Amino acid sequence: MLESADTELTAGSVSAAAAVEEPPDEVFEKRGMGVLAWIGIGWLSLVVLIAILAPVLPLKAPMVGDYLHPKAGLFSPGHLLGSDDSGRDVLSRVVWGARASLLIAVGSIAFGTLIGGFLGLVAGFKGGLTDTVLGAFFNIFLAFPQLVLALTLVAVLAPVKPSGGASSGEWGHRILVVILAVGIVSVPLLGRITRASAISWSQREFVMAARAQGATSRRVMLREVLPNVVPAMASIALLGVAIVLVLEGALAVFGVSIQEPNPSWGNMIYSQLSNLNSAPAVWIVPSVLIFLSVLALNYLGDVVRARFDVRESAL
Amino acid sequence: MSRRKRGAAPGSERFADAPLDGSLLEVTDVKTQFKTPRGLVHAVDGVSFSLERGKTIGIVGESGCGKSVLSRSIMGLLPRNAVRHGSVTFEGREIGKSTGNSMRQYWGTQMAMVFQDPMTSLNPVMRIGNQIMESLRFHFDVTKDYAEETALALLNSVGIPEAERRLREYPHQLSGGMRQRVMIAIALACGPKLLFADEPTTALDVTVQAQILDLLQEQQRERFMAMVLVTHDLGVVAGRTDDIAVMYAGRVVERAPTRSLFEQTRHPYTEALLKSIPKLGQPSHSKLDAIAGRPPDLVKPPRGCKFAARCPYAQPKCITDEPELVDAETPGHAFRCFFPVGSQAGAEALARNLSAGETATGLPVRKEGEAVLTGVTV
Repeated sequence: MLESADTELTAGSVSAAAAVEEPPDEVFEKRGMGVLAWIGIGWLSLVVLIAILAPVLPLKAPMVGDYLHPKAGLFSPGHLLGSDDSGRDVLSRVVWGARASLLIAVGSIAFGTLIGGFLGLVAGFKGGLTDTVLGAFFNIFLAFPQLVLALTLVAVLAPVKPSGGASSGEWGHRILVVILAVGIVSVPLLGRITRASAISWSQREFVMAARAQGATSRRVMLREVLPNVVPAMASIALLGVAIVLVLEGALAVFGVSIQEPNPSWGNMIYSQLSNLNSAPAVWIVPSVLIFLSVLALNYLGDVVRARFDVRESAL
Repeated sequence: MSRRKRGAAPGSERFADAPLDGSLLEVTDVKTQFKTPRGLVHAVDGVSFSLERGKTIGIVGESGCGKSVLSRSIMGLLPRNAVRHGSVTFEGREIGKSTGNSMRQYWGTQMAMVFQDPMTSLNPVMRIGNQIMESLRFHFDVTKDYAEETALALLNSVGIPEAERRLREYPHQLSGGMRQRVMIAIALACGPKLLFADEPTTALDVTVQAQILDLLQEQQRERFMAMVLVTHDLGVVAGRTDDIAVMYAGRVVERAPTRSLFEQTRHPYTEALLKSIPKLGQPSHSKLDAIAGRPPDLVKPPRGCKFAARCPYAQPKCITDEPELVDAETPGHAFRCFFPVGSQAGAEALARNLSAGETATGLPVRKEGEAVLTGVTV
């Protein structure tokens, strides 16, 4: 009796289950990122490379004026990308300025990703009171206009000295201050993104499964949740670097970024505001550099996100 | 290394003195409630059973009857908004009040769980091998090589071909059935004495279901492991369990040795579940016997018998009074019904309802034809 019931019942379970389909073969094929992404990577690599190699490149001194050729146009002999109103070589200043601009952009986002990412991960994973407190902290910080907050932080951390910032010690200090200020501003932004991603990953069944195998909370958070949150963080961090490149320009307008005569892309534009018509090369060149770099970073951020989404859907 | 040594193998020392006979797991009057904005959800409402070493108990019921919550309550794997009452003893130790940190010494090494959906219960960004080795290296002081060897042996024992290659693959490269085998390997890695299988085949292709169940059964026998098999499919538990508990609305409505449950069904809900399974002998296109309606709202459960609203036997008494769990003739068989199937009272109740055309709760019943739960032979 039982035996016959058994076979009947086993056959009966046919109706019950939802069939699980095998993932299609395309999932396993390596998908190219597209030509545009490689152009973006190429451009950013070039910018980083010339910034690193600035001291050994055959460039004119960036802070020494050539008073015989002020306001030279593009492709002038001796000044390939023109010169500013003191005759300083734009090509040289753009290359040296890339050091300051990139350091600020990458440094502040690295700071924000480390601190914000950690706080967001803890908030999203722990939930409860921890999440409430950290979430309130993020929200309070987000309520301030970002530019005003960054300006205030720079002003408080390092008042601009009337003597200017020609010495290299002064330059390094100023960069650190700007990195810290902009980094603090970016903490709640990156924190909230990470928190949202951590919340959704923490509720996945494999997290529960890891707990059921006896893993500690810390282990589950770092080994199970964090690796899954990283793609979202990376995508936002790339966009963040792009935003800070522009923000540095805004800080320069208020005179709190790198101090003259040191160049950064932002203060190269700002310092030549009075020569917008007479020497367009001086502001066009750094503007184009900012524009192209931001474009490349945004596009790469999208590519990272898209690839991450594809993998998720193939699960 | 020294840090790991201190926490190494808590199982072997701590549980060495545990008695080898008697029941492994005693569950007494376990109640689990969830605090929600709508009110307290009584997900599990007074469940008791015991399980001996090496035995299997099946927990059966439709969705939302508290089966999964029960197994998670026993393991202490409940979300923050859950409240747990009652007693759970494991090897004679009370664990009903423990949560989180104090339960961790049991998880993995003493009790483990195979989850329902293998598509979501593996970490998508970690290699299969690492996921198996993870808990081995975490619980025991073993070298990486040793853990890898064990992982390989585990993969082989759960029937994964080319285990060596699979160790280095990611979950998305495996099919659903393979992933569930990996889940089983992970659960078995630290040699638990008690395995919870929470609907282990529900998410799987039917052709794979029987293989996975056979694998679970085989591993359970080999390791003399006790198993709690949670499922909504009586077909799954038939012939694979020693005892079955049928749950409805958070309560056990019938509990019996497997053979007794199928041969001497007492509770109308069990009968309805059995009837809802399609039989091979039926002509094609025959209508399946569904159970009308849905399980009751567990925030405000009805006063009397929880199944009365859907039961073809329901009498006025069923609406006002809740039946207790009473013993049947067969030892170990108990049920919760005033008018049990196969009894004089039950036959009379059904006859009364059939002649009236509806039950005491207003559920229409007809002698033959399209209506739910027809052709009940008593």
